[in-house]
Amino acid sequence: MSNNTLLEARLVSRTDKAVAVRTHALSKEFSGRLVLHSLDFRVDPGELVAVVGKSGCGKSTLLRLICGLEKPSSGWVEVDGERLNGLSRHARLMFQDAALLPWKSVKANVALAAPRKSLRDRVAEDALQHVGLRDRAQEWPSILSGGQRQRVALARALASDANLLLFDEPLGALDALTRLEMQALIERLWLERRFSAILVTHDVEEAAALADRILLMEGGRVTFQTTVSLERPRDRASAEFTALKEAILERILGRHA
Amino acid sequence: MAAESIAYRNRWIRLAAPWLVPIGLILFWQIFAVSGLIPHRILPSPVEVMQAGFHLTVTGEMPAHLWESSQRAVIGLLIGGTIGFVFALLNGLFGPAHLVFDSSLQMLRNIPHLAMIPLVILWFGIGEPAKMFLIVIGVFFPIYINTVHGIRSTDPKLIEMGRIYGLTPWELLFTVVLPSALPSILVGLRYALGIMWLTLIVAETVACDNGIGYMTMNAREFLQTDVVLVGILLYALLGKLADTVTQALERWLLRWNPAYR
Ligand SMILES: Nc1ncnc2c1ncn2[C@@H]1O[C@H](COP(=O)(O)OP(=O)(O)O)[C@@H](O)[C@H]1O
Ligand SMILES: [Mg+2]
Repeated sequence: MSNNTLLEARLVSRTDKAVAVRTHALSKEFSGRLVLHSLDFRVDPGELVAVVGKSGCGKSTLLRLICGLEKPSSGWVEVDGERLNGLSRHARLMFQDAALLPWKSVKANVALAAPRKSLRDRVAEDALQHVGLRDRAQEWPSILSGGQRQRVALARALASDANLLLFDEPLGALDALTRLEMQALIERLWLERRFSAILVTHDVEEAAALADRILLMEGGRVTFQTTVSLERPRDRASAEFTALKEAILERILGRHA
Repeated sequence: MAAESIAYRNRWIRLAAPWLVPIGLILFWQIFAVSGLIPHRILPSPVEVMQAGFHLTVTGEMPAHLWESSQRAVIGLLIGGTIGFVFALLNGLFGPAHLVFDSSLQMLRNIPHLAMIPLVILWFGIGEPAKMFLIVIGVFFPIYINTVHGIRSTDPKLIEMGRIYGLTPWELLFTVVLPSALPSILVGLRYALGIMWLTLIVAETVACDNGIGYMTMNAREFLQTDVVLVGILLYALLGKLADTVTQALERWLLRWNPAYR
């Protein structure tokens, strides 16, 4: 192993710190309307859990509670065994909008997440390398495509030593081909780093392709869950994969008996 | 080859076209003035105005007045702009402050600041503080209003992102909020510059013993129409200069924004 790869391994691939998440009777109401109903939910260290459900069922609210952007109305969130109070140190949220600062270069956007100031530049470059954008480091975000911007957002999360990645439909605005590429990238990074992750998506195929476990949310409750034991990388043309997809779709559409 | 030379010619036409009207007007004015149809006292010819400008420059009279006026303008802008900016930070960042102060400031904004001249003369006399006060009040509002607007329209997603990545409140202010407000702040600055010159002209014309405004009012008493015209042209040049500088500043500071490239 050359010096360079050693350093890279130390800077970016931290496989040892994935955290567990638990919610305890977690409820959230907005002006008297209950959006999450006493949710007990868990993610094991290094697990990738997909959450699917119709829009408005409370998926985004759940992620915002887990990273501490919202306060629970009752119940609590536990990350890495500690009861969450304020923003989580471990969690990074990615949404449909990459939320890059347009006045900072791609590299500066990634560097701002690096915890150790002295290593910022190296960490940012390594993280960009991981998402295949090292050669765009000096560009303004405004000239990148939607997929490239999401990759920068992903690099930023990597650069921050995130132990828990919360994806809120991050690929929802991308075209089908770019989405496939991004799914492969997310899977690859997750296999390398083994962070814990929650992926909210409205794309059942995406959930089936990436998740260890799939949860279905309806009206603020988890109404169904299934463990996916297909081997990675998953063959989307296989009969098992198609059957799984169909089963989840039928649950969502309420056609199950 | 042919296409290239057409493109080349087009570039020259584009550069020259804006000058056609002013140059035509000046030519027309010169011919008109020389023909003697209008008395010299009403409208001297462009050549005479240029001569007067040259004379005033050589004697050092105009540079001295120019210095006085610019000093007033810049100091007034700095004071008024700083106060406006500080108030805007306060009211843009802290909801309670906005609640308490903003509606009162919005009400005061509706008073044209030049309407306060009689009051200002009663308070300060006709000395330097009076002029400074008018300029300060004049530039305060555009800076205040545009900065508050810029700060408050910062994308909440970006602020959340900054908080998630552990930025301190200071870092949030300097890396997220202020850069996001910058386009709006610069719009405020351009308005403020316009108001600054206008206020300066009025204040120096009403009561003063130096500055460009004084120079023109003084010339009026001696029926030196050419000097009056020099003063007016000078104001136009200064205004244009300030605008060009801010535009260049805008293009540089906002180069990340596709709309300014
Ligand atoms: N800040 C808020 N204030 C009031 N209601 C909200 C707020 N955030 C979300 N809601 C409501 O909570 C419900 C769930 O929203 P959300 O979690 O965004 O759903 P999803 O992400 O599954 O589409 C929606 O009905 C939404 O209107
Ligand atoms: Mg949502």
